[in-house]
Amino acid sequence: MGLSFLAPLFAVGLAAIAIPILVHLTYRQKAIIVPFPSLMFVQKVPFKSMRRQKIRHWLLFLLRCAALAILVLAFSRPFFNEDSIAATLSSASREVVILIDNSHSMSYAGRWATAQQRARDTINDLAPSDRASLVFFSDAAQLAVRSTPEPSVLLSTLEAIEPSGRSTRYAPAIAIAQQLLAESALPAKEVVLITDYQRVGWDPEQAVQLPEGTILTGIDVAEEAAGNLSIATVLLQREAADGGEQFVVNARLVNQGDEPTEDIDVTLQIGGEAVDTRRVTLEPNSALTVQFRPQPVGPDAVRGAVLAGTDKLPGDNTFYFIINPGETINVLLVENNNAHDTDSFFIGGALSVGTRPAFRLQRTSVGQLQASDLSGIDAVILNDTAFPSGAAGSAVRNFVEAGGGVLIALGELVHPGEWQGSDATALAPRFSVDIVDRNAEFGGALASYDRNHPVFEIFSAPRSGDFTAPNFYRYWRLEPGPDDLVIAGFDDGNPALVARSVGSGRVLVWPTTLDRFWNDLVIHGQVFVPFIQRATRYVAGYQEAEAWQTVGGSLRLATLEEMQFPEGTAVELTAPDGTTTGLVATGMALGSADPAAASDRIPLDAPGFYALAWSDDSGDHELAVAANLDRTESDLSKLDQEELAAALTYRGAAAGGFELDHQVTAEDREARQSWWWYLLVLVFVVLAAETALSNRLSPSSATGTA
Amino acid sequence: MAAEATRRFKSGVRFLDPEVLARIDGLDLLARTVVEGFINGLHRSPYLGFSMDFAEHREYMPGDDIRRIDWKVFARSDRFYVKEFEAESNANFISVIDVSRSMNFGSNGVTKFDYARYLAACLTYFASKQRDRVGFASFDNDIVDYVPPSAKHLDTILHIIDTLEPGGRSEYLKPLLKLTEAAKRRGIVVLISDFYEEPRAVIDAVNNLRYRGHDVIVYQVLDRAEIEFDFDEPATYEDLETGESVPVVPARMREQYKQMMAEHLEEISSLMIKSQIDYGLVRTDEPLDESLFRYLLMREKMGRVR
Repeated sequence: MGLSFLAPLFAVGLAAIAIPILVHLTYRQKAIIVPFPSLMFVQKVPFKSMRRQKIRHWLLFLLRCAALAILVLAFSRPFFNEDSIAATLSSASREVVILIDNSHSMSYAGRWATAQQRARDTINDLAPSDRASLVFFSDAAQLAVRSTPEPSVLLSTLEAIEPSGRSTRYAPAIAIAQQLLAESALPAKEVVLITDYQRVGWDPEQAVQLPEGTILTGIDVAEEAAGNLSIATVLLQREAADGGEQFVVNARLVNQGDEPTEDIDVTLQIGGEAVDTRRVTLEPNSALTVQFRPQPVGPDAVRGAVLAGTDKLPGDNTFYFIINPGETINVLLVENNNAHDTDSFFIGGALSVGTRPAFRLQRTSVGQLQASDLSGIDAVILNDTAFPSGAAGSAVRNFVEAGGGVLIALGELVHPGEWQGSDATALAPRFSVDIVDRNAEFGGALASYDRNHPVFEIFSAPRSGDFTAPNFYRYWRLEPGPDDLVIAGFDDGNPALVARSVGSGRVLVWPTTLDRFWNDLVIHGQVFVPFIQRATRYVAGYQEAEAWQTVGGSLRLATLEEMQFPEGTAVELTAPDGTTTGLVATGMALGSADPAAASDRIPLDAPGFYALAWSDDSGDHELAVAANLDRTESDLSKLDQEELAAALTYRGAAAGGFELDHQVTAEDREARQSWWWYLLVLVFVVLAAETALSNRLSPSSATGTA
Repeated sequence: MAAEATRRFKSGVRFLDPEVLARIDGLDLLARTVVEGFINGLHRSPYLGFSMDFAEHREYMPGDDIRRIDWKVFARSDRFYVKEFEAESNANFISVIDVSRSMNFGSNGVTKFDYARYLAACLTYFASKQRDRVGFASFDNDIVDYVPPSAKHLDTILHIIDTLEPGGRSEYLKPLLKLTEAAKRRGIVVLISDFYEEPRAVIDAVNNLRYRGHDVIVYQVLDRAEIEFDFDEPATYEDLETGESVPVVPARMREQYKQMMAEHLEEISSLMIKSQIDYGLVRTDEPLDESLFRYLLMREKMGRVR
């Protein structure tokens, strides 16, 4: 190795290492009693005895040995010569993976510049025989440069990258490093992790570890005390107002710092104009909610934002959102030819309330139904009627297959024979001629329903409506097919609500009435109104427009009702930074001229507003979507470096290791011969660590004072 | 340990650190500090101001919760009216604490018993501020203390909570049945325990309160060390309730223990959800405001639906 000693006789002192070995092997466990709340689980684990004559606390043992060895080494006055260093470096070529955190928190103050500089230093320190890879990571990892001996390639790539708007996750980057190192044939493996060590990025449950023997060098670019003011979330509360609807914006502010933030102006912007400003002061490590004056909901979607001062991490001081106008679902209610005006009284009532969405109800009888009636309709309700015959029946089937929806209520005016045609059986399951009559039992009940299904999820919270209270006196016995989904059932096991997918559309079948003849559900308005509205929304395929999305996600065009682009429509996408991209609609996807590149998703990479603009025969259109940074990124609290290193290198700790901020520098001969002094300092450090560890490993600090 | 606990806190809520609260002398001051701070943090949030007692009808306006529509009035008049509720509420509120010996465990300076006391005191104070009638019960294998709900019982309850001592073995069926008999008027019952019992037995006991018509909120309070079992030293472990002891090598059984604990928690959680009981797992190193938020959300839902 080229290592020489001025006083080699001191090496005899290495024999003293035998002392800690003897101490560790002869140490016997004292009788420790740990009070524990319950042995309920402990007693279920099979008992395993422990061997006493073995070395436990390996780290403590190694620290003690190391202290002695370093002490002996220091007295031996070691020194290197340059030839030996060069020889060492050339004989152990390294595979180095440089992991650089470019999550949003790295844009805090000077973190990114520091990270780039430390990465440059690492690259410049590479020996000619080394190879290095460059990986940038946030919530996903990107392999920017795969194993290369060319520093220039690494440096030029490094300069081209900026912090992203995404959150931190360590696991994907470690997984890539793991793969790169596993593929490498070079003898020495090293990972250099340059990050601000955000705690939120580490999930101990994600079992990722570096290959055995890997040296992990951690470079921390975060300041010790980093404060941050952020808007954690915004709550948009809509309420009735004179002649329309208004919304109230509540912004929750969080000060994660040891200093108060005084006299911060918090501003609400609507349509780019400041409409209200509140001045607030936040105590250290505190939160408060700011409520702004109500604003009217207009006929069109408007862009809104809340701005709260600025600080070293400005990205989370703004929160963007979209206020959408009320939306409308067009419903065609089809009744029996002999229906009375009152037969659909409760359905009409239930669908005439609410604005998000509003329901526009048209009525017709089954005998008068024509294919043209279905134009512009989102959902059809066949309320206690025969299935439409002939062309009208086919039109209803085609309507569903093309993406529409039907809610079928089967009541006393229905005859099974009228539901046996091919169009009817394509939409609804068969039902037997025997009506289930529960009058003798004073009615049956709805015993189960799937609270995860969109129809019933509104009832999933405690006290959100009791569906078991209504009595059901009569209903048809449905015979669902193998592909049908029974989402609610009566207490005698018969299906109460069956869902079927037909083509692109949806059908729900309810085997009893939606009036008071066969059940008393309708008088339980607390469940009846939301049930009818949710069932209609479901079959109509309605999805509520979200006020904002999170950066790192994507905008899925297929979920947007407005995105019915004719083939070949030119669409212009404007990103938050103002750059525009010309796209061409390909069915539901957008892409360049190459159809293979088309995608129905637009990635949201930056906070702000994304806008899609297009024109058709009816005029110019624009759809805006707000994107906000993942607010977990605002929490700058740090992860303990050694904790992360221990988790990542556990298996390889014996052969590999962890170094904090490791750098190789040349030293002159005199400095190298004075290493003994540094070694003595190191002895003190190791002994201090040994003391701390030893105290920590002393009997558990858990207290039970029984 | 304090630093480790602090790191886990979510954004900006460190002012409710249980370890800090432990240094406040007097539960009434503690409850006032926490609740007032919490309310200030909410700052006129929409969560405040809900209520339960019916006052009158008013015409439906777009934006009103459709579940508030009085459907019977609609059936009679073909017009939509919603039920208005008085700003003042006087529901019954009872906090129930498990004071068995297993609660007297803490690895971070705050025992589960302390945490349960803080939580009960804060919720009682909070409920009293909402003008609910407040009551209290403590139990181990039987009811230990019981204070019936009253608008005037806040001070009594805080005093009793302050003087509580852990002792006895826990049981759920018998004390909760007794409580069900005692608390006949429907109200809100908050149950705080560590639930070292088979989940089925727990849910059977708690359901008695549900069947009586109470709205039940369950907080399962556990220490971090009970969930993660991150002890190092091989030692003899002694059950705080039974006094039984077994030799344990933590490193060898940690994974199995954690898995059993996770399954236990999952089963309790799913059974509670199936019974429409509002359930939350709280750790003693978590700030109290998340628990207060859960209570607020529950209370807000009730206000909406009734």
